[in-house]
Amino acid sequence: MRLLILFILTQMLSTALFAESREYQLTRVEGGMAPDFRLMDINENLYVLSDYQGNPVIVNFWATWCPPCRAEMPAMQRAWEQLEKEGVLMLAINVGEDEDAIFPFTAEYPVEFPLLMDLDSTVIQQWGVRGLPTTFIVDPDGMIVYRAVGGREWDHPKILEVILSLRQK
Amino acid sequence: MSVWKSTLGKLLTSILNAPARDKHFGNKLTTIDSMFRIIQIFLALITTFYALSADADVYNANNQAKSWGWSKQGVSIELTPLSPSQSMAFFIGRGFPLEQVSIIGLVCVFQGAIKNKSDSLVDYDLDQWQVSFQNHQVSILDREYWGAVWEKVGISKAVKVAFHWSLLPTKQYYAQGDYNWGMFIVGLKPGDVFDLNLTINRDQTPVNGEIQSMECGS
Repeated sequence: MRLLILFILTQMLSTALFAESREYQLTRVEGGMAPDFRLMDINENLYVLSDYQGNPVIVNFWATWCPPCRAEMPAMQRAWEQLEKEGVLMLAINVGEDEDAIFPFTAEYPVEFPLLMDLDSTVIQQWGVRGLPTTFIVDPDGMIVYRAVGGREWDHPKILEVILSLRQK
Repeated sequence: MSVWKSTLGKLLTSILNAPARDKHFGNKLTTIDSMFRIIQIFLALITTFYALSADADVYNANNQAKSWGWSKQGVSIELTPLSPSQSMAFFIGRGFPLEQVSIIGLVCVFQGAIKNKSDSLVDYDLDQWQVSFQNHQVSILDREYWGAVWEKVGISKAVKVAFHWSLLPTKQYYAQGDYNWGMFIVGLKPGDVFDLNLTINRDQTPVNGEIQSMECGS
């Protein structure tokens, strides 16, 4: 009986750990060269992806009405606080909404990384995204190397480790 | 699942019926024995709950909200019906003109979530899913369908973009840990009841499921 209980406990523990592990899992992809873009942020600053070659870039596609997009924003902000000083850029590209829709969102979710606007969804289509949120990690050579569909705990040490490992030595 | 139920039933019975003996103290039930038995019962109950929920193929996720779900081999799908007022309010919030948003109030709308917690690459294509209503096949109104509708109606690009991304993707693939939310719309009226036959591919091997008697929000 004691062995059976031990077995059940082991199974439960391993399943719990297995389920939890998905929160910080990024999928390694050979996504080719990241499509370049020129997008304005909500403060009318222009961002051109190719300007950041030499640095890892996190490119997140999102919308204010998308529940998992909102849910991962605090973790993205916490990650940004650790990654900015390490030379990693984080760009969150809103799909289809303008400043008037995004600005109130920032009051509820105060984030400091750039919020860009893909008003006519041209960029998201070029990136082959099918659902929100989807996030890509672009390496310093401009290649898409990781992908995550759905939210993640972006400040999890394992995710930070993966991203920081991309920095050029 | 019935094997699980049977095994756990026997386990629970054996714990409850086990003689209250201690090899050193004869028939006296010691405090340690009592505590150990309580822990055994607690673990058996937790395991029963865990096993029933983990192995469920089809379930009613929330009786009050009338959500429906399907889960198999680490892939889960959950569909919650939205009332016409809920779905119309959502799209008015996305900038839909009032005269056009009434179209959405005439059809059957669910909020959907698809998750892959398996070790496999999972994909689906809504074109392979079937909706049966009173012995007839009914269309799933996907992104492409609505794109054509809004093109005819002539609404703004911004609104079309918002609508497109609000729906579950027509085709999607999920690596480990991936998931999506989005609306799932069927060509039925609010309040209609239908059966959904779905297919997901797990490492390119089809896995089929059926959710019966799903009710459109009303």
